[in-house]
Amino acid sequence: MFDNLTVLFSSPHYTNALPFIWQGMQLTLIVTFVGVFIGFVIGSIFGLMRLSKNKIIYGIATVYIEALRGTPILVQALFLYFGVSEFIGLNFTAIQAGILVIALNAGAYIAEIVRGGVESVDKGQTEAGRSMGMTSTQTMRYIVWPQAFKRMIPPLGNQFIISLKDTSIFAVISLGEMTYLMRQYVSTTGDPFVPYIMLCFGYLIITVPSMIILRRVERRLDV
Amino acid sequence: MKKKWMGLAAGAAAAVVLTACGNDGDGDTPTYTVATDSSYVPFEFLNEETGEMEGFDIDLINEVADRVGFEIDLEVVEFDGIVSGMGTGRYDIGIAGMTITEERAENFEFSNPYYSAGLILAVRADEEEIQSIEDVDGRPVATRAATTSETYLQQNTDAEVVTFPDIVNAYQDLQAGRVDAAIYDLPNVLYYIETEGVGEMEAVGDTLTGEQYGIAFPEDSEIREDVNDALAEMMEDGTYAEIYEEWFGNEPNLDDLADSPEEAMEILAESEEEGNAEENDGEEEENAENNVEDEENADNNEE
Repeated sequence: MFDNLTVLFSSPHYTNALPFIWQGMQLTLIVTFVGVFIGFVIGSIFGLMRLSKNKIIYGIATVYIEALRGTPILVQALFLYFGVSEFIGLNFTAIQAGILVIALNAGAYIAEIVRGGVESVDKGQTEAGRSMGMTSTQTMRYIVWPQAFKRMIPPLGNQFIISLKDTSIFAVISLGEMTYLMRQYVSTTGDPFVPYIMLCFGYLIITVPSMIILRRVERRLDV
Repeated sequence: MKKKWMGLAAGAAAAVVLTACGNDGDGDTPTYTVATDSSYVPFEFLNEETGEMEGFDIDLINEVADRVGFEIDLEVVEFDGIVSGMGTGRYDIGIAGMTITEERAENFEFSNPYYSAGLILAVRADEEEIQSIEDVDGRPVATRAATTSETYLQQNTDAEVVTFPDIVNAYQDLQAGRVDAAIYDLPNVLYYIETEGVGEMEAVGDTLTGEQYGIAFPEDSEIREDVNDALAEMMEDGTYAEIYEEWFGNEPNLDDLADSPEEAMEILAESEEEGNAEENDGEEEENAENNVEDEENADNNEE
């Protein structure tokens, strides 16, 4: 037991595996940032669609949101990378598929965040806007949305962290992010303990500061 | 009323305990946890109709269990999980078309070899540039994580290695055109080409490395010797040949098999050097330079 503990301090993996962590982290961050950004665009559109009184628009948004929230992201990745690409002959690369899955998956959750944010703005705000002669689009654009967006920031931050961790399952589609590279590293060295500790810290280095920043922002915004 | 029910429940519980004891006492057969691969045709794979695992390995281990006298508790695990699980002693037996290698033998033990295989490269049928392992440098090549194929690619080529937890995904990636080649154990590659890849994929180049499969045991396993005896017996009386023919369609050549795991490791190490040399001989002069390089590589591997 204590023999094992010394490994914690003198393991060669700290220097050997570090380049893999670094290399993987870049891809993890790229896929997360691009994916969540596109997800925000998708989510805003579908979130607003869900507020629509038009039954068809509402229905489309609901089907998309519930289908994506109701299936595991692992299945979505396998389906898109292997299934869809065989079916329509469009071969996404692992990075494209990863970004797309994060975007679609986060998009569904963000749609609900958007809907909640907009609904939380007092009805009186809309009424005030309309009674000043603004169109409903203008009211949304200049009065409701800015207030709603402020309230969306904390849950959006959470979604970013969740999506970041979700990228770890993309090893199944050979996306060379942090987890994939460390699994590969472990399978060649046969020594899982220290490399996987390093992998945990690879994620914590991103997630902990994100959470701290998020909390600061929350306090400043006073939401 | 309540008491009546409780009496019934107690009776039922006692009956269950008694029958459980009865089963146990019958032949005093121990139960061992046997880890096998999730999908590795034709060694072990799920039969969609019966919902049971079947294949060469499964038949083999069932026969061994009958002879040695133990029950099997089959656990289906992804291959990299079996490799690390054997090292930590999580499973009593591992049978997964696993090549006997020195690295693995450091962490757990092997039975005597029961199958002789090798690695082979597969490409799309319309591939023109990649015709042997020499041509894969700088190209994306897919294989399965934590296998000897992955090690081979990393140590002997400059290919861009792409790994999947499941080998079928590597073949699919090749068919989809995202990688230019796939490498894996010969029987599996050929089986896949015959079943799913007809006209789309083909195997190219020589068989690489001399790999021998062994059944894995944790260190100091009490049943390893018994299993070895059972294997020897089955090879002697023709049962092994019967099972072999059922899955591979031809008779086994028992001379291909090494006598011990140690010998299997030697054959693997030698074949890694020889294999490279042979390929170059076949292509004559222009590869004289490569030959030197390959020998250097082989030397490096030994270290």
